[in-house]
Amino acid sequence: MAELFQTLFYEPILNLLVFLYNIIPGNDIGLAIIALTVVIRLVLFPLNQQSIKSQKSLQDIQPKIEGLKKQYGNDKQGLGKAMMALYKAEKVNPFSSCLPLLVQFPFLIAVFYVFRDGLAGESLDLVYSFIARPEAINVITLGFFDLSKASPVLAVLAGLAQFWQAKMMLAKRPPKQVRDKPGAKDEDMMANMSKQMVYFMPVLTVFIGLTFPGGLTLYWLVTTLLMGLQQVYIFKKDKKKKGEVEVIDEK
Amino acid sequence: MYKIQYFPRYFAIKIIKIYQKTLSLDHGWFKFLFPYGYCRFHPTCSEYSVQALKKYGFIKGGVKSFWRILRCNPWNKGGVDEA
Repeated sequence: MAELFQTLFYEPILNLLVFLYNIIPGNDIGLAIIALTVVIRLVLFPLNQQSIKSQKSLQDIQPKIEGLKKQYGNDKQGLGKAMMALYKAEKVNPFSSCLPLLVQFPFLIAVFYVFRDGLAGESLDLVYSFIARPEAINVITLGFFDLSKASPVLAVLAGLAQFWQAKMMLAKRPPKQVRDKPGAKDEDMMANMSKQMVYFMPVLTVFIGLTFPGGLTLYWLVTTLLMGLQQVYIFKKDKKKKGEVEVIDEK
Repeated sequence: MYKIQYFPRYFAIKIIKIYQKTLSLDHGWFKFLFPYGYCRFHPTCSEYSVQALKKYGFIKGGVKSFWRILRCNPWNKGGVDEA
């Protein structure tokens, strides 16, 4: 099982990283990590695109959903079924799917291991024969950043990026007038929790970033930034199409 | 005391429950990111798996769960699909 994981996920990612390290001028591991992140995000781009889009399109049928919630009250099972029927009738599919998500998990774990162990220079034996194997990977990027050690600067930057991204996600939740209607208690709970998470997650990111090698934190930072940019892009496009602004401020 | 042949399914269910409490985007810490739910089926894949494991046992339930996750892809319409 462990070997299968290594061959299918760990080795390809490690090799991609070493390959990028080789071809990037100056052999800078920091730039190689950024390039690797961009490649991974590009592969996942269509999946994320669909998911963010459909979350947005749901706002249009929000009143109908509220109606169903009132009708069913505490009957969660019935409500779930009725909502499914509604989505079908309105030809909205708000859902992502589990398979792509679960496929992403091993990749994430592999990326984690590559940045943790690969930078330590032990695992270069696993580099494929057709890729030039560097003597050792120089872990200093831009001349002064040591990416094999924890970096407080990167940790804080990653935290800030996380905050920016989560805050923007929140802004596209259902309009306030809908949320304040009676029977929207659940929604309120969710709103409170979301608010807490917006602050909690960045703090957690900073703490995790402080304990792991800078390379991993850099990966996290770039991923979050790219995810945020993708959101900005979708919101902008949506606004143009509808000709109205739908960003709602949190109280 | 549970009978010994029930151990595998209870173990599997326990792991799924831990997943639901933590990483799950439908039940866990991150569900606030998806206010309308994440999974395209009802019940969600993890909930379906728990039900299937309870109903059919570790092997058959496991196979059914695996098949359900394979079906939970962007080309499937989703909908109500009880174990």
